[in-house]
Amino acid sequence: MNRCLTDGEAKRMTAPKRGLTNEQFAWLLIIPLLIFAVGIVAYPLGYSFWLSLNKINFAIGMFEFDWFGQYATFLKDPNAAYYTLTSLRFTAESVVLCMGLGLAMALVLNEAFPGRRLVRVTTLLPWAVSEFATAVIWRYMYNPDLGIITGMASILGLQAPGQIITSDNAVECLSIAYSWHFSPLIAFFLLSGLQTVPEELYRAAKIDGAGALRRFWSIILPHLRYAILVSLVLITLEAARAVDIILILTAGGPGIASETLTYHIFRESFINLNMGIGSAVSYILLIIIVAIAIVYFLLLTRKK
Amino acid sequence: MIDKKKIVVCVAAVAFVLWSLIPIYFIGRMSFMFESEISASPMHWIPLQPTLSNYMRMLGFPADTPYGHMLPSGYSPPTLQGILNSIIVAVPVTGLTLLIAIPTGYAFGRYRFRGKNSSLMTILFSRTLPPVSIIIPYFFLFSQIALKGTIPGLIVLHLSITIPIIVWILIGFFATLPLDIEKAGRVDGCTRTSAIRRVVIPMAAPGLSAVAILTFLISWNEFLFAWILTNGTPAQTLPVVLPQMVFFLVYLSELSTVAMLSIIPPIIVGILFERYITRLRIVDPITVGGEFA
Repeated sequence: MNRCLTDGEAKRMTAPKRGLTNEQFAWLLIIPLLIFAVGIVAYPLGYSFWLSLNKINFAIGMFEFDWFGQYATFLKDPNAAYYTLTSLRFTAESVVLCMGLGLAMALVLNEAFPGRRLVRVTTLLPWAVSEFATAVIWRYMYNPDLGIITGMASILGLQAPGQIITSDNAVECLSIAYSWHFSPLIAFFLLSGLQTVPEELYRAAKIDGAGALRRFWSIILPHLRYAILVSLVLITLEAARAVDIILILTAGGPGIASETLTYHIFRESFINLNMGIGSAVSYILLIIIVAIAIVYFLLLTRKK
Repeated sequence: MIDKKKIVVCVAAVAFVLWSLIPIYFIGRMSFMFESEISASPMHWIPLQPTLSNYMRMLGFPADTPYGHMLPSGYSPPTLQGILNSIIVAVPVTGLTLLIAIPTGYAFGRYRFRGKNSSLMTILFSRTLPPVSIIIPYFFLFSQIALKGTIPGLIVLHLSITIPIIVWILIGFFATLPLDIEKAGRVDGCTRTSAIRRVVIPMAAPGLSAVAILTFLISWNEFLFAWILTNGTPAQTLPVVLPQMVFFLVYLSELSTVAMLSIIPPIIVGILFERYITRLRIVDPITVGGEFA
């Protein structure tokens, strides 16, 4: 449906009606956005770089130029590597969980079965629940006294552990809750990709005796390539930026067990009011995220 | 063979339904319980004495409970104010987002022009900035120009979230709308602008309403910016009230009720508009579109 225009058509379409070429018209339409984008990208980037070069304590009104001292302070922090690893761990686990759950949901929703529409609506719901409300819900789900794990254990006649979120599994608890909220979106991306798989091709492979796994590998997966990549980009960037869920569910705890870079930025900036360090860590995080985004972008734009 | 597959699919479908619903049910059931029943250990799966008293007390009415006649909860004024503020913020955010995103999405989806990819990348790049970093400079700026703790300040920040996402979605959307009708309109003498107004917008109406709903939800659900800019001020939105209750020990009956008040509207919208929302798909913005010249 999006075929290119023939020369004649293009001439007629491009014939200037009020002296504007199509290119100028397009630019006119996007100017408001570009001004806005510069405002929301350039301003925070520039200003927070300036902030990261200063030693700031908002509580006592300290604002001293410090070159790259704040970066050095963070890098000298013995826990700096731990925060970074926790970020990577949370992101990696969320990516795996969301992609796995999302793909499984999409494959199920692509089948015909009674009540499919109801199941579709229900699986979308966790995505409508906001990230912070997800955190509130799961905070009490994990509660050792009134939570659901204890409730399940008592049904099964088991003894529930006294503490559900420990410093060993805090990040896993976070990524499970996060995936509950985020995997429906991935499922619907993948589902729209699945619906482009030609039915005849699939049936032909079945007649030829290809097993379910083989059909998945050689017919479904190639058609899903773009949907999978977009989902990967989305979930990676969102998980690496996520802070609401950590803030409310564990507040980085127990101790610093689940303190990611994003939560560290939050804690330094808005609890300790050291916004210089907060901005410096922001830049370090931004570099990591942009590096990941570039890799993905190269994968996305590579000719198929 | 076929039966075996059917069974697997059905079992998985049931499992996904349970997985999606149990957490919502878990918090929802608490909002219909009296405080003493919530703290029962192990948990009660079904309220023994279901009650609406929590909702009454959070919405500003007195209610009769086993503990006697109780006045509205102390959290009821901020909750009501929060609901009102959330709406006051989300409505203009939705309007302004559409106003900016529709022409832009159309231009990107329909036209091919120099600098298209780099301006597109600028928009997408803004999506990679962590919100917790963006808020630091805005916190300084808004403190200086007295926008901190105000509704206009929050609206501006919400626009910075919604516009890039909505533009991205609309690009794919406009690019897949049939071109022929618009071309016919142009041949019949419509100018570019009137073709957009008379042909494209009506064609796009269902998609645009889905996008409007999505924008409203993003603003309604936004927590971090609202928390940092409006926490403790008269401009605080509903998402700000809930964590205040989480961090200060409060009755779980009240907390779960506020949680439900915050998630019920998105859930209703999700159920009603599932068909439209799931139809919005993100397509490759680079290869798609660019049909006019």
